[in-house]
Amino acid sequence: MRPAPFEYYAPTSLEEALRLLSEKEGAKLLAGGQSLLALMKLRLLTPTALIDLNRIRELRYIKEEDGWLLIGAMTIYDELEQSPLIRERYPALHEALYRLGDQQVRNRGTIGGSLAHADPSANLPPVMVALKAQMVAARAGGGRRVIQADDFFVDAFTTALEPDKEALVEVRLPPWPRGSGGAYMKLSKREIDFSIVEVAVQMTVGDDGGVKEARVVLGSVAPKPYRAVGAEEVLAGAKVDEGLAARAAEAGTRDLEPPSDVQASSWYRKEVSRVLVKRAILKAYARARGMEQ
Amino acid sequence: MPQFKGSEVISAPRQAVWDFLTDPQKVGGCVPGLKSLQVVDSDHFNAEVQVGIGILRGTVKVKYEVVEKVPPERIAMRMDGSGVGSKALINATVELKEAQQGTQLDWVADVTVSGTLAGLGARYLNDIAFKTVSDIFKCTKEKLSK
Amino acid sequence: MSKAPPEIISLYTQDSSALTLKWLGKPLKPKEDYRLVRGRGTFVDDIQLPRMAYMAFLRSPYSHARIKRIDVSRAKSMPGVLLVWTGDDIKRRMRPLPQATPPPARNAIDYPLAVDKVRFQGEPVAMVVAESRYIAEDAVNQIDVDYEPLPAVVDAERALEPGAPLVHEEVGTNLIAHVHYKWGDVDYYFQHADLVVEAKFHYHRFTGAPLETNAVVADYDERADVMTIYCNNQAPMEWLPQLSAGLNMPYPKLRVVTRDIGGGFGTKLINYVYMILAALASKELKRPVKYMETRTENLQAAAHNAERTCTVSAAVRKDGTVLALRMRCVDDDGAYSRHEPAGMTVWAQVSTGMYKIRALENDYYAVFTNKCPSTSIRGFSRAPHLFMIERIMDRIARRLGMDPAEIRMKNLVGPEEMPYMTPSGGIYDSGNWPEGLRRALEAADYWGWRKRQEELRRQGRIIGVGVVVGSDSAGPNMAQVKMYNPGLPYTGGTEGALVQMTPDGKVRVILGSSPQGMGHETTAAQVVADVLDVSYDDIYVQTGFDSFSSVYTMHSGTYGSRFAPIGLSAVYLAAARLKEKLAKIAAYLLKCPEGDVVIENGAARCAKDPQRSMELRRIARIAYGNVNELPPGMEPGLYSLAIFRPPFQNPDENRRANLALTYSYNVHVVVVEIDPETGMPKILSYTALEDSGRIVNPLIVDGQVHGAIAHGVAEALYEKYHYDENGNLLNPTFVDYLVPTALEIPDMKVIHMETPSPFTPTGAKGMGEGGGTAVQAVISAVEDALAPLGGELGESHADPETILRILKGAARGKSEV
Repeated sequence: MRPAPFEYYAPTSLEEALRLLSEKEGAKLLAGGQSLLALMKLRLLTPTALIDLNRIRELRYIKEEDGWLLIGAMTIYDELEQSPLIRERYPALHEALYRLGDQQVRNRGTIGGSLAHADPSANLPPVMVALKAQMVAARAGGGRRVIQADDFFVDAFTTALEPDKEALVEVRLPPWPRGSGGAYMKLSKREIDFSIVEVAVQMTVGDDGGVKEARVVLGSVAPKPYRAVGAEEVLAGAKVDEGLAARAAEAGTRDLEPPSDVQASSWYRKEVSRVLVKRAILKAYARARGMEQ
Repeated sequence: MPQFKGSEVISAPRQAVWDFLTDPQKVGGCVPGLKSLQVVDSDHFNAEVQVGIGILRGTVKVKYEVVEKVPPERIAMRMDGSGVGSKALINATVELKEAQQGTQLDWVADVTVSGTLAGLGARYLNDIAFKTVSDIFKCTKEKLSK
Repeated sequence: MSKAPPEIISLYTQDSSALTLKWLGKPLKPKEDYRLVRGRGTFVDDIQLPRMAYMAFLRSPYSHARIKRIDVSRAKSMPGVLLVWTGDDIKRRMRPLPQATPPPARNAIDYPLAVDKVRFQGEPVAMVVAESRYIAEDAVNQIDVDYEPLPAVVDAERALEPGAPLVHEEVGTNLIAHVHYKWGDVDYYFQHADLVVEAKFHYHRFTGAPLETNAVVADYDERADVMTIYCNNQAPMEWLPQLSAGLNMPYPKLRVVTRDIGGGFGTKLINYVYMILAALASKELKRPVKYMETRTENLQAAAHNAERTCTVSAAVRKDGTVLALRMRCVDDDGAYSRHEPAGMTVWAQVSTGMYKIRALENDYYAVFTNKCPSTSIRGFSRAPHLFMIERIMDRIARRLGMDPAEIRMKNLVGPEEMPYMTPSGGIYDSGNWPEGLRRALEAADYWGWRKRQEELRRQGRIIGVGVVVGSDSAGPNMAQVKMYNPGLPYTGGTEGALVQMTPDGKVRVILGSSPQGMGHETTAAQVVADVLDVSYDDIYVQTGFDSFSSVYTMHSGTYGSRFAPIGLSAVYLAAARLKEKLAKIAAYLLKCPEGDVVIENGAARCAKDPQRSMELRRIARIAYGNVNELPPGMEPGLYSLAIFRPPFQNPDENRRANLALTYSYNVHVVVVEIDPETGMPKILSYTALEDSGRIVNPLIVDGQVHGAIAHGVAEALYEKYHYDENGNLLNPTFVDYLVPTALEIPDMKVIHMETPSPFTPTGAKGMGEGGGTAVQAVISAVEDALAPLGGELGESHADPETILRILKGAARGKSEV
């Protein structure tokens, strides 16, 4: 459990970090280290250098701008979980943070680290896709671009960030209109585990009770967050009740071919995907209608 | 570990595909993540390969061996990988058939992983194994279609 | 069977007249906690010696393979590398590890580093010692091994089939040992039973997962030719033959030391392989060598429990009386016999559980497989034995339409039959078990839950209630190994203690045990305080074990819940003898008849004349320094050494023997709810009653009960090793080997009964392993939930997927899935 030799850099500015990233071949950015360091200790990863982002204060913030919520990539889970803004406006994100790891992990892990790592079973990626978040990527020399969450996750452990060039620096959550609500649900044997199946739902409901927009996104069932488009189609325009939620869940999970591993078979993942999608839809709908917090 | 399968249609004559796949220099060049290649003879090469998915990549030493050749239609190969405290054995068989647009390449691979990765990487191994093998043949197609 | 004969009872009954009962039973603050809760314990990794070097291992990726070639040249040439050894280097330096198995399994050749062949994934193949652990691990990565993979055998029943791959060719079979006993007229009862209930159960593979992994620092002193081994072995003196054979050194040259140990749970019994390797390296390099096992190494290759698969048949009367049992079992002991097959026969006396079963047939096989070697994980051997009987009791109840609590009540041994002798010669020392069951049912609101279960089921909720009675049998008689290998020179169960009153009147205590968090410093101090009636604060118990100063026998150590029944008995004896000597000196000095001397509150006085008294510290000063004042001829000093020997005997010609000294009793009542759509189980209520005889310290007893429940819940719902068909362990990290956290462990209600054991001087019984009662209770509750749907659990582990498959199978007529 000792990592292979590596160089270590602790820049204090983003620009310096990005410059190092572009110069040092085989280097990796170190955020909270909750995945990276464990993988290095198992020698599954042997980067030549670590560029530690923890001293870059400019990457740690939660702020509002034009109704958007902007989150610095190095903001730790605990701060996000404590944020009243997130709890009120983005309950799905709050729940995903609340159910992420243990307190020690939440004290060190960062939103940017998790999203850039793109573990197919991590809590946050499906929530980002459900919320239509935007990812801001930066490169040395001041270049920035915005990537939609839908496009950000490319494959297991693979994002749209250009390797060795770009770093994720900010997560932007769009304002959702009045009548919106969301929910996050995760099935795992222990509370601190990676999920067996997880689902994030975000929707907007009109005054008539009909769904105006819904996004249903699963995690742990595919190499990247899985948009349950079939469910979203059933929900569109519909008034949600138990039966409709079940139909949406059925439609949204029909084509799933989840992986098997030591915790659960593909069959089980698919079965409980349907259950969790149904339950999350009902909860998100109730919240959107102001009937449940 | 399960069996993986795939096929490619390559717009090149069967003999050209055969020649490519039996040339260690060429087929070696198609191993994804290749860092170094040392050809031993027409049926053997050794390589150092960066294997993995996304940011999860480790260096693996691969011994490649052709175990059966039925020109120009069938070739069986064995790849012994070792690295990150693990061993991987890939037995792959390739069948080549004449097709309208050139050559149809069908491959089947059995993958056995032993060691640390079998436990730690269980969630991702299937993806990695499938990608590694299918990339070899995708690359074959690309190179021959040029 | 029946009440034990009077001569046996009197043989076992102990004198307890030296107790004052002033200090026993008090919730005194554990002496160890002051340092431990502040992070000030001394564990192996805290030991830093000058010029210390570090050891690391290359481990086998294969579960079964021939080693064709090992190239260590690159590793050897790395700067900072001091030594690189393979199996061949070890083979040249030591004899193979002694085997406790009968022939032909005894022919197995076991070295701490693989020689010629690897037999389980994670087996050490080469070792590196270097200036730092980092360098050692870098060098490990530079060792190249050519393997020829061999077919693996991972299923114990298949291992016995002809043509199965052989784990040890030199043995010629995968069978380690076979025992077949019949106690009582089993055939008669099966012929005359109203019905026979039969089922097959699997007790799964898991481990103890202690906070501190295996560790050792070996320090060879060339000048004195003494090898000091700082280790965290639970019973280092049990392995003296192994260490001596490994190091080719006589026992007086081997100094083995333990300090604080971060949990053991049985996993730390067989870490002597690391002790030998570190010691050999230290001898070679003339430098201290440290090895600290990583968590992955620990989970993959340290010590698992033996899996057990049993077909259990019960001969039953229509009224629910269970007459006789037949068990045919196969134990999967893994690749080497380093501790097992002991679990096959050890505690065999509890395979009839807590019940008046008249006859028993045990047909047990232990086999090698290509998995991690097994040892005695908490609840060793009794847990799987009791699992089988408790599960079959539930099945019998269901067949007869009886309530599971009723059938247990019907068959429990009654208080009037105590001490009770089981068909195999076990002597259950004391207790009122039916009363315990009644109290537990009441405390858990059992009948209320049964009613609510019906109501809630009508609302679509799935509730299960499990009730299980168990034995926390303790203080083993090692003669049980003779049941599978009559030639083994290892019997009985003893422990030593030294109690010394120092010249200032304080008391120093040295134990033979090597505790891993059981609070021996506390309970030993309480017994000494109680016997001598001196202040608990004046008693100083040495931490850990040191073979150069501790009093030991070859049973010494901390395993088998032996400290309360055996270790504390030695402490009692030593203290009682010291008290006698103090009384003798006091009688002389106080000019008081010896029988009239009372030792009380740190002083000795003459009962007839309270004015004539003196403090014990004055006596102590006289005994060591002012010795001309001592009674003529009396030996100076206040040392008292005792070794307690229970009146154990070897198995008789019918292999009947009492194999443990005390039999604590427990009842667990668990209520679970199953999510009908996901199969996820949730514990709604947990009640545990325990009777472990006289409670020495209630804080420690409660802590042990909590721990045993947590461990049992873990085994039933969270912890399970998964091997694939090639012998790959699929969950060797804490990401996938699911040790539950505080969030998963339910609130527990613990209630006590206190029936002092007549067989120990303190009245205390061993406890803490829990006998696996929690595993059985949780599985019983889950099965109870599934039973109305036709579901049965065949294993000691139920995960949500297994449960959902049963629910779906039930819902769909068991067709697909």
